[in-house]
Amino acid sequence: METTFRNSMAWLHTWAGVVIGSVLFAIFWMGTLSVFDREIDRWMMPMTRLAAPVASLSLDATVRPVAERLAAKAPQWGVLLPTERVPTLRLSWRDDKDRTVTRYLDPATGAVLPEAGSHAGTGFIFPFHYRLHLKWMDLGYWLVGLAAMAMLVLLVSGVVIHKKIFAEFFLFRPRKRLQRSSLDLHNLTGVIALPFHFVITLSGLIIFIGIYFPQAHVGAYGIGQEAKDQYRLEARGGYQREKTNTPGTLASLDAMVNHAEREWAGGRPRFVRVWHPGDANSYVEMRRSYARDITMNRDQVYFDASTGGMLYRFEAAPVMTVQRFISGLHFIQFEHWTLRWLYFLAGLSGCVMIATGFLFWLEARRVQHAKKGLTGVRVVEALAIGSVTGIVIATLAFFVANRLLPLGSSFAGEDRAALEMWVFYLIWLATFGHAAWRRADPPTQPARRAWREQCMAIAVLALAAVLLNGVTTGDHLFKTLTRGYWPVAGMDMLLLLGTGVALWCSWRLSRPPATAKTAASARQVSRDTVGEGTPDA
Amino acid sequence: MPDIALTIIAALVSILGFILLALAQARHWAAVSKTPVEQRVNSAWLTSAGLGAQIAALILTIQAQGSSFGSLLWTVMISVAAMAVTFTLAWRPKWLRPIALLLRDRTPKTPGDV
Repeated sequence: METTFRNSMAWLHTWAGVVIGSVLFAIFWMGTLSVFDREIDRWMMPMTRLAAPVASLSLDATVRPVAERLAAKAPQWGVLLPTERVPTLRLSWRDDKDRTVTRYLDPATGAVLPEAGSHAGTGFIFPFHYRLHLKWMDLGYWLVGLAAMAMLVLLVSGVVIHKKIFAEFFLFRPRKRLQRSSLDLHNLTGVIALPFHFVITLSGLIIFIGIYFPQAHVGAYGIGQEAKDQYRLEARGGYQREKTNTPGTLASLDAMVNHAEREWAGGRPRFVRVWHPGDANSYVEMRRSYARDITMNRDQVYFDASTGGMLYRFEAAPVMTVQRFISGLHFIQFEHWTLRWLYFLAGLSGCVMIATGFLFWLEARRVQHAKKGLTGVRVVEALAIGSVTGIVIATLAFFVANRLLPLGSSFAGEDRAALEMWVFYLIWLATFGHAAWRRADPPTQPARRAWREQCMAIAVLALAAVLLNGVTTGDHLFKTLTRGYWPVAGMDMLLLLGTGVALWCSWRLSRPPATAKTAASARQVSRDTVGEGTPDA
Repeated sequence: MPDIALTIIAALVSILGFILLALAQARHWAAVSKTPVEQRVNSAWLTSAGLGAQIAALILTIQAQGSSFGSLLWTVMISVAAMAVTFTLAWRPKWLRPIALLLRDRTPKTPGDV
């Protein structure tokens, strides 16, 4: 037991951080990339790089013929409408083996675009952020929830143990030794972006209230399936009716869209779904766009498919609207480029906070562990390298694989989209192996070789991704910049920036470590921190 | 005034406010101005002005973007503004010297008064 509250919090902060830091970094990294998931989709799915969506879209002329051809026997088909960030129509339906099939359509012509062959940003990076692609027993959701709870604990305990939160508010001393400068940067990114980190973590937990707190409705609605159904209906809305198995018709979808827009006082639909297509009891669901508001509304309107008459209308009650506002703060589905970029920068600051937390832990213990012959620092350092630079390398390898694998390719029964994911996981695993192999020598110094080589790998892969995009799609940076095609130009420029930063880091790591004049600085670090500065493992 | 211009002004006001808050601290005043802290205007004045600038930035963002988008924008923007000021202090403190020069205490001192 620690002697003071602050020491207890320091212990908690230190060990919660080390144990969960790797998962937290993965969640923050993927969350930061998810801010631009649609732009990553455009980069990884060149066939969807269309001009801005047409002003007047006719679902009857574009989507309906395709859906009636491809999904006539499906129990339902739905289409996501084009937005400022997504120029395509995204048609999806369940096939006869109950698998979801997705096709992208050109909204100007209704032409079916070639299969994308990639899960890209919205299908791989975004779900990785909230469920780590571990679907068994919802393990991924629970791990992410545990990490989010740990993050809240880390934020609160971090504030408690920070002795000079105001005096050092603007303090960053990059020229001091690694232990000091990494603690400065850890404190800086933790304290200055604290409102963002706290809101984004708490809102992440609140989004999945249905998973993390599945009995939340019991107090108000009671126990049992009937109570649960009633809660769901009142919270989320929804309309259902059975098939009659007699033929039916489908009235004009465009007229229904106009009707929905009148109901929503100009709000536009983002999703349209036809239930039981071709049946006499067929009906059409429309969901309202999130573009103009932070709150991710649950507004929905249902129409009878044959007559076009309205069957059901739903708007969430105040409590649910608050939950949807909090969700909207996290998901940023609204159209606001300034906020999108600020979220991206704040997300990166979270990544820096976690990485520098690792660095400080390592530097505070390195010499003591070397003297005592302990392996803790070596193990955590390999984990930290694989978790930080490793996942960046794996992500870039995912992009490079996307540009190298031909459309329609498969290997060992895995399709192209799965192969891209395999590349990600295998490369990520390899980076842990590399970090363990290129360990610190002597053990009193950081594992510079491993960090440097992984930085070089980042630089090479990021540059390769930009070059391969230019070569394989013809949309090189000069062309996208001059034509103002920002999704691809922006991604290429960020990749080039990443190359520059990685090269700079690699160059800094190749310089001989500073040894002189910093013993006093090290002693100061120990005085400034409680517990953390004292090797205790 | 266009919303974008108001938003840019809000960001500049926030950055200026954080510069004042930083210069209210003796460590940063000395690094930026290269003059003793006694030659600076009252630090309480700087702190108040720095905090006031953040409130002004909030009002400007709400004016430009509405209450929900404006307050969210302000919450994230002030973090990025404070980091920008911190990195300037770390790598390019000279850039802030003109502002520090404006904040010197110009009231005449009596002999022996430091």
